[in-house]
Amino acid sequence: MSSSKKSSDGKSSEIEEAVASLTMPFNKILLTSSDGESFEIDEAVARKFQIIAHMIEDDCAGKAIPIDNVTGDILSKIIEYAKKHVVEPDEDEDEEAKKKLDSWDAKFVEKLDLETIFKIILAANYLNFEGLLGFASQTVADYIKDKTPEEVREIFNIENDFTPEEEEAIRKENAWTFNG
Amino acid sequence: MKTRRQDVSEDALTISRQSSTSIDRRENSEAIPTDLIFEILLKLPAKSIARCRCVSKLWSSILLRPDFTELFLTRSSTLPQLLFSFEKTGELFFFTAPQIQNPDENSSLVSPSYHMKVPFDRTSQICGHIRGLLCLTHLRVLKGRKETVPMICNPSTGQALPLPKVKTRRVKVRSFLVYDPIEKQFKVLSMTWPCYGNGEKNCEEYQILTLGTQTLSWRMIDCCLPHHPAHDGICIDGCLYYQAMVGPLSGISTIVCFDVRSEKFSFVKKARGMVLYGQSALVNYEGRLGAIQSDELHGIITGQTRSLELWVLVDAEKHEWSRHVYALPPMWKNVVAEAELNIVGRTSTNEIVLSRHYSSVLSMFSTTIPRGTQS
Repeated sequence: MSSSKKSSDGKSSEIEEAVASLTMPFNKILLTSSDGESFEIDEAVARKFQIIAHMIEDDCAGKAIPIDNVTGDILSKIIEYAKKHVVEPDEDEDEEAKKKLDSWDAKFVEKLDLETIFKIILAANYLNFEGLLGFASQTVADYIKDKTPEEVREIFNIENDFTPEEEEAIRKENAWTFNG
Repeated sequence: MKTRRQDVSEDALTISRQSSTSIDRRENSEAIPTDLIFEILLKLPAKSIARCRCVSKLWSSILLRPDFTELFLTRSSTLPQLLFSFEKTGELFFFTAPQIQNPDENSSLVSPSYHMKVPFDRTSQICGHIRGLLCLTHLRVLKGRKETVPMICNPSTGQALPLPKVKTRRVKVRSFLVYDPIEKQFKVLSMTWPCYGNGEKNCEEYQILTLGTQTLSWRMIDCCLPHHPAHDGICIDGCLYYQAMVGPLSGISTIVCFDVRSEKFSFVKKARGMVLYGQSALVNYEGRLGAIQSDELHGIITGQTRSLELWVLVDAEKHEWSRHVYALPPMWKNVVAEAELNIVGRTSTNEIVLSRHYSSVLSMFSTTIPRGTQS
């Protein structure tokens, strides 16, 4: 942790950084999105993203970490969620806090369109942010659960590759579910 | 803005967290890789899963994967539900209701959700239920001949699958739905007996049908220990147990153990003092066979019953059982009064569910057995 190398001027900024990190109570990590937007966040928040947590453990997290696969607008949403969820309240111990957080989560996704949620899923998967990935997946699942197959195809941009006969055969097998 | 499914098919069927490469391959950054679709589908309710099979061939193949089914079952068993069935005017209705976690705190009424119904008449029988599937048999008349036709139902998806008729000329058939956890196979075991004469004769024509194979057909199997099943069975960890009588008038009552994988029968002797009456006195007690009886004379459970006895099978080969007695709470006699109850099952939280005999009103009583009472 302490680098006591005293060498030429070029290295003095490293020493400054090392000293700064010793005196600062919490490290700040800088994330840069693919389109150049920067976000400075606490280490505790950054650790929610497993790939960054691993980098911190392996000591290769510099001050600025580029996040190549995620644009600024999505990254800002993810950071917003991560900040709220730094400490997850225990359902049994603090029911009130859990309810408040659930209600915040619900409002958080309400404002987002489906395309953004998909982008969040992809980004949360890349960053390895389990909590948000699970939450966003559940949101999509809840959205599609009562939709017809045609509507689901439209949402996911999927082509129907069944022949009419194949599709009919599956529908017959599932006849009960279509009747509700 | 189309998804190119062909690119996804081959290597995307393996689950990997680092699937970001699939984003680079497609111009469209919206496309969701297969493993994330897998995660989304896991969170759907069972009815929606069936519907999503029609979306595309890729989705259908994901949903039919055995690891998907296993994960789905694991997740949904964290929120256990009770499955009820009741019979009315020629039909059998299935409902589920969430299991009440703390009945003392939650005294509100539970409203069950309706799932499906199947035709059910006097000749129909429920033959067992395991891992969310149920088996029923119906007697149908075809060209003047009576045939027993089993059917598998899945109440959570509402699907019903009729099976080929049991291979017999006889009318009296008993069937059991069983599951082998090692080969992960469901099978139906059937046996028949002649209906003439007094007393139930030993069964013959033991046969098995394995589900999930291309062509469903009955295979005859040997049973070197002929017997007659007395009541419903219970399948625990790949073994089917049911009470049976051996020999027509001898009255030797025993418990049959049928190993689903090897398809072999064996007998388990009852312990002394173990006299089981009533329909489903056999339960799954923490992975072992349990048998419950009341302390009353004829094993009937009423408001006067003061305690229940639980016998747990410790060693099947050595016919060893352990016995535990549970006193019923004092308010039992007020709650139950004059009703006569049968044990209808056991929930995953160690509650015994009892129901009135022949009642038009579905009423349930449950009492909890403490865990880990056996050494």
